[in-house]
Amino acid sequence: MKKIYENFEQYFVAFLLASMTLLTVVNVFCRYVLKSSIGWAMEATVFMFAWLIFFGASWAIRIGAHIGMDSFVNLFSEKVKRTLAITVVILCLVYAIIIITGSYQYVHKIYSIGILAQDIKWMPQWVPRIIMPIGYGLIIFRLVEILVNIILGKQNSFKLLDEAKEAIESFKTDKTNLK
Amino acid sequence: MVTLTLFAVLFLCLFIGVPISISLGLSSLVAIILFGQDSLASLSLKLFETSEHYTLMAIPFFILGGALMSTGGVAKRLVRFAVACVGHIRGGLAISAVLACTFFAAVSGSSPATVVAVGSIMIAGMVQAGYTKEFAAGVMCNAGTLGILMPPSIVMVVYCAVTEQSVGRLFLAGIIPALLLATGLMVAIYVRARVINLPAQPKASTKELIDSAKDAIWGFLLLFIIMGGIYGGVFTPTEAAAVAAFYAIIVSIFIYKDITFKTLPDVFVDASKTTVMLMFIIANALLFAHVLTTERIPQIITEQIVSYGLSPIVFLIVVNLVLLVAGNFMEPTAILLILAPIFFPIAVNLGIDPIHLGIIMVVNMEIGMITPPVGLNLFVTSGITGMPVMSVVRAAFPWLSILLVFLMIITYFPKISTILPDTIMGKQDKIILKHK
Repeated sequence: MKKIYENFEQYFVAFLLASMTLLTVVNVFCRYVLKSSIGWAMEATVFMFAWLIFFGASWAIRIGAHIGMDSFVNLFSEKVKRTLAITVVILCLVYAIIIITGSYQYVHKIYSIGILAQDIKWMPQWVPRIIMPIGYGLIIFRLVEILVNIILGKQNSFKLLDEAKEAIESFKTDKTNLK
Repeated sequence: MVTLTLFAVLFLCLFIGVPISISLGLSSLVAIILFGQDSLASLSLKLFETSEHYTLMAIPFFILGGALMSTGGVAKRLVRFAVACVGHIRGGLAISAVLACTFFAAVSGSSPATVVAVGSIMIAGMVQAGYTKEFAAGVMCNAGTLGILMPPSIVMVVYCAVTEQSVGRLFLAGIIPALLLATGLMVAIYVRARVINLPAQPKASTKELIDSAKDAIWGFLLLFIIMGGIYGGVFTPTEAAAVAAFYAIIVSIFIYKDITFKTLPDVFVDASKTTVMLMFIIANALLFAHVLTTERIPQIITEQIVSYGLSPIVFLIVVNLVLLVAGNFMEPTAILLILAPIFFPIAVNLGIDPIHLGIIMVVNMEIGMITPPVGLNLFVTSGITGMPVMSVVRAAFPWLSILLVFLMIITYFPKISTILPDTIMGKQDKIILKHK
């Protein structure tokens, strides 16, 4: 159970990416071989894409997959770094709170108008869009988690991705699969 | 005032280490809340609309295809074929490294991935054959930049999405410049090899040449599916990317056997991670671009520049200088997203082909990859060779001059970029800018 809870996010985003790929390929196949495309395929992929981005964003914060510049920050002493890290998290929180407010208003409006999606005829428009307040809610949750960790001294910075290290490591894991 | 606030908040956030995506988003929000009229609801709608850009959906698929094909197995096959082709020339291993990077760039849309995959094999190989480590690292670092110029290229998809250009056109436009750059690097290596007397490999037998070609062909087919599919009118670039990713799954599981059903989910997770990171930047950058356009910032700059009476070529030199400087400090996609909306209307106004501008921007991004302090290829090369970053910088420096000369050639001769798309897809209609 704990394992499922910990890995749920990554399986969910991987599932979204896999479904998007499959649906697009199947749609191309239907169009060329069966001569009739799936009417709702494109809209469904677009919705999954939105979920991938805005659900994934909080997961990316958790695993430290967002990129940023740390060359300047690294010039400072540990103490200054810690203050800067707290400032960074607070700025991120300000951003997330503004967007969650806006997206709540937006989804609420769409909900009260009650329009349906274009091709997926049974689905109201607010359903795919609900990911905005949910996603930003999760982002706030992860940010608060980081803030608490920094204050308690368990973590000393907002984790940013080291792209170079990442590129090398993902290649190394490939190699082990070779044998 | 708006412009000042926008950029001041952006740079302040970036410098203290706020992630690029949130820096872009927050600066846009601050500018709009202080000076703009948009409601918060319409701003979050703008963010959500990112997913409705159908072109952008090609990005996750290209990333997935790249993640599947950027394995040691594929790199090894492409290297083997490259060595069989040109290994017997003097300096052959280094020349093969460039050729292998060109091949690899055609299956992967990323520059650092190209350096890691080909470099991990070739640098050790070159050192063993008697090349200095510096020479090997310098060559790899530069040749790896081909990753974003040779289609498929993620940077190009981003440019097209921001400026509403055709991905098919820009992909085609990248081919001749990429081959030209590869040839330039190879000739330079050959000349250097003559001077410092570098070894040549024994000539590969015809059998080895055919065998290695047969083994590598599955990788090459990926590019054919993408290009053939787009230009044959079979599918859109986004569908092409999805089909290519699906093809990559089949090849890597059943033919190359690099990946098993058990490791496949990990590849998806890895690709999702890159996708989310990149798409979250793009979503926020589109918000940023929205602020730029509603504040008419590009138009104001355009009017100014046009009133100076700059000739197109002088303007392009300015573009190059700005991009070269920016490339030293920031990540390529972010630069493209911030600067393309500003440069694009000016270029169109001066009669510069948008495809030509796209190629110029991509080449500048390539150079940014190998110049400190944030040149990603430098760090990757340092990581795989164990050399200190400063030594890699010195090693890469002489080859950098080739890229700079190449940039000048590309800037002065738009034909190199536009001839292929114009011949195959017909001349592009003149663009009329929408004025708000």
